[in-house]
Amino acid sequence: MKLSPNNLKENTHSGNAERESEEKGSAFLAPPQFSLTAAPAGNGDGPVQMKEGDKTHEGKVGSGTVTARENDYDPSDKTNNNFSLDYSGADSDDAHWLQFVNFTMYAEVPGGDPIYYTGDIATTSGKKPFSTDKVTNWSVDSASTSNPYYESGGSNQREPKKSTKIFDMPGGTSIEAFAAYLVSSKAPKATKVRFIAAFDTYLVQKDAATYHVTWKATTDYDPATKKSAAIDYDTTSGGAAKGLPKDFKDILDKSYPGNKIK
Amino acid sequence: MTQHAWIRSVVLVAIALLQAACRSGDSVSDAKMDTQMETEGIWQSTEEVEDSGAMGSLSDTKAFAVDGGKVTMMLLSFSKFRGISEDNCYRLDARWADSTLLYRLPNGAWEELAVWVDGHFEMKGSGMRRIFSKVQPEQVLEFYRPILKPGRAHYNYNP
Repeated sequence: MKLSPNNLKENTHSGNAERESEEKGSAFLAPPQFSLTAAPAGNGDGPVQMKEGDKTHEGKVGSGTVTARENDYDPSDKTNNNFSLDYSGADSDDAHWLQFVNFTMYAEVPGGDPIYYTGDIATTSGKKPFSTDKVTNWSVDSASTSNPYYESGGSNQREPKKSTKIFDMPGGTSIEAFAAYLVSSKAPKATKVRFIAAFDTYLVQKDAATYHVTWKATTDYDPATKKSAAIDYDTTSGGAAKGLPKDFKDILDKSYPGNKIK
Repeated sequence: MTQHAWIRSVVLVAIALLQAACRSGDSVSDAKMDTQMETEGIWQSTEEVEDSGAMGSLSDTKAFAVDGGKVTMMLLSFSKFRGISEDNCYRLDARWADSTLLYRLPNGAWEELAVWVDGHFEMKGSGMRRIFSKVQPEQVLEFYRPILKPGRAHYNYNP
């Protein structure tokens, strides 16, 4: 089946992430008055074939179905190298996606151990710690400080009473500058830099996590050409969930105190 | 003293007090303006020294630009969020909290960037103190060159 913008009932790339209006200090200068032309998160400039990606996982939950696809088409920016998760069911209006992420970047040096990017990195969602071979640092993958769901600011498509679907494209060209920095600052002899974003994405229905899919997105960067390869997705597992695991619940509560997600 | 002379004295004292207050306001305002002018420019880490008292974690940010009350800096985005920049560079709202410069993340939260100390910026954390110096565009490390891109639009927090 080919998708076209016309058969999509609703496509909300931007959610309604509430903005924090708290002021930690005195006003500096004028409030924002300008606009940014948002760049599509695509990987290439050429024409894009509108096609559904390969189905890599499917499972029943309640009265609906969860489907994972790799290299799927996102109508919001017309790219087809996305990882998508879809819940289809008549009760989809009460369904949301809660995504946890950890990320690792390391340089491969001939004859030596991998050299990891360590410490915190400034991200669009605040300072976040890298994971390494010794420690895994999970965090909630949301663009909002008050709404933990991925679709609060992440690319998504919702059809009332039918489905809710999210699209992600972690890595790719967006990591090139950071990979180059790792090479120049810590690993000048590196022959490859690998970025791995690992996810555990939960379907939340009526405030309870009922299903989850784990997946990875790997991007290799070539220091010689200063270019990254295409994102390599891997859907690692999926199945029913009886609520969030305690460690994830703790992470969620720390970032979003007062949430009712179980 | 006649009533007329008394009123005249009171008025003169009031004017003198008012002028003094205005002068004081001007100097505070001038000082703020001077500091603001001083903080504007391209800042890059030129030294890192051990600081056992530096608590928390040190960000990886080693260069940023301050101009027109905005901060331009590199931010990685791991997910397909609204308004992500193709070159990972963003021109963001900035704000002072005493001597600390804060920037406003695309998600709306305010985060500390650096502290203004004796005419330069510093960052602290992870037992280290990172000292920034004002640099010329040609001195900026390759990774941070996107901050030099002219005409970068201010991030739209309310698309």
